[in-house]
Amino acid sequence: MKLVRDGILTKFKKMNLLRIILINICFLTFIVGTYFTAIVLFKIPTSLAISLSYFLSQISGFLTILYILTTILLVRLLSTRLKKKAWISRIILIFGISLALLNSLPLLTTPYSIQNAENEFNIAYGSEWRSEIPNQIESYMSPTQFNFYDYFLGFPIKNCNVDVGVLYYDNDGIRLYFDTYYPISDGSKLPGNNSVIIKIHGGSWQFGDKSLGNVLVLNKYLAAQGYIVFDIQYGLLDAGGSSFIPTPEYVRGNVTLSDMVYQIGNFTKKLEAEYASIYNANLNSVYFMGGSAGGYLTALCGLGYNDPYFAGNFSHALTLKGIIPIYPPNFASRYFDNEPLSRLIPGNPTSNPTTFAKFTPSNLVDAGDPPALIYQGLRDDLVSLDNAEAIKAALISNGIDCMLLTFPFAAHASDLIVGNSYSQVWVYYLERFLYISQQSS
Amino acid sequence: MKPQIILKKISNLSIFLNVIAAALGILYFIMSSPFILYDIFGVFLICSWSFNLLLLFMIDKYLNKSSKLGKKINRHSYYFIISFILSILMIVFGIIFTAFILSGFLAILGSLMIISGFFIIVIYGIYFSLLIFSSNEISEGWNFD
Repeated sequence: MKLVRDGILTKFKKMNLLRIILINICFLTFIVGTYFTAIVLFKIPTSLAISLSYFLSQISGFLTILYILTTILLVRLLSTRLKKKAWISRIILIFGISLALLNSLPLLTTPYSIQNAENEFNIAYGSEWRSEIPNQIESYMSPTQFNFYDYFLGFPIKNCNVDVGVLYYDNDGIRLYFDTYYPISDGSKLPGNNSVIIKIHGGSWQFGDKSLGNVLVLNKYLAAQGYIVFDIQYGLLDAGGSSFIPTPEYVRGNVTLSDMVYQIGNFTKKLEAEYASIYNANLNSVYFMGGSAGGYLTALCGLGYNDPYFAGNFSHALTLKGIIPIYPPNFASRYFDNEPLSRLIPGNPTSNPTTFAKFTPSNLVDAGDPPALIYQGLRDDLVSLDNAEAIKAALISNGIDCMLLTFPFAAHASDLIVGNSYSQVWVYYLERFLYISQQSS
Repeated sequence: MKPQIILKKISNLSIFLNVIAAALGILYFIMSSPFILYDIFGVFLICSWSFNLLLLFMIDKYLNKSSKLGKKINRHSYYFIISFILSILMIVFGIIFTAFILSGFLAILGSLMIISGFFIIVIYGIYFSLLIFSSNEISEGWNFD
């Protein structure tokens, strides 16, 4: 009898211990969740918060469900103990549901992003712009701007050929490689028609790499649609700092922005001379595309390739059909006036105003430049909206189409997980922009 | 409407939604190319998860936890909440892995995490909804008054 009683007591104590552990985990989830929610909604200027902001808005739909589950679990665990204090359960319920609702905002604002993108396309191409894409071509593209299955189960990875690690530059102790993503079948029968996309990675001009840091899933997706994607490295400033972003040592050195432009220009020359024939690349249809620092270089090279200041850097055999800067910094005087990035341009905006002006992409716009599609998160703590707006204003004032797609609650690098609510909308309009801009003479 | 009837209808709907989500999920994981049917799948997915959550929240109020049946349902509701949480975490990490790593062990692990996370939720959802639906009229397990 005593043994049975002891057994029941032990079981009861174990149950109680498990209950206490679960209650504590739930409260801990709420504390961490409150911090995460603050990061999604407000600017918190700590390196941890900025790093977390890259991911949180991309997975906020999952966090919403987790907070609802935690709320249900906590209310149920406490309800047996606090039968006479129902108000505690009600407070937990209200708090948990509020947390869930706030985290669902990035997902709930998807219709706004879609409407904004539609308006931008209507202004640039007219309200009948979809009729420019034949049905047969559109069948290769995403059928809708957003769906839940890609969001909750991941974006499907497309099949394509990949050549990794081709050396294209070896000078002054810096070696640069590129990867090529190209279609398995004949690209001329696909929407891309073997058009070239030169993809430039981000990382604040000091860090980052091709491949892992340059939205691999999108590279494959575009290659499967008939684009030849060249995912390239360029020289990075070695200012002695460190980052969680993987960066190969062999690309780092005493590099300036002029060197970066020279190296990318050098790639375009080699593309003309060697790689175009290897990959059957269509040099009459070329795009620059990149995010963050890569977005800056995309805008700089795409708008400056025909500017006398950068003359001689680029191949003349390439016809630029568009540029795709993703959260691009624009103002040189803002980004390159403080250590360590001030090492990227000689002097400062007062002592060297011409160079600073030339390294501001919006100053390079002229009537001969290609159209642009820009991605910009509205919760980007590193690159604010006015950068993209300046590029857009310069292009529009020169009579060039520019579509600025904005995404509420989207932080910097919010396009990295391709199935998220921002990226799905982005990919839908990106593939259509690529096709329509190819057709322009 | 009486709570007993509401609970029965919700569990009934939940079984239907989870079964459809599971069937379309199998189709989706076999053939993942864009297809308008999958848009319907996405809606079913969200609805089935929402109804699972609603059931988990609602039963606590009406369950007679001192009865044998009530204890059984209560125990399974906790198992379901915990496996739901773990499955969501598996899916999130699976999606992050597959967004950055496209080949090798981690890519396979990421895909497996997404697939198993999804099926754990829908299969447990079907079982749990069936448990509520089938026991709804057994008065011993509930306090509907």
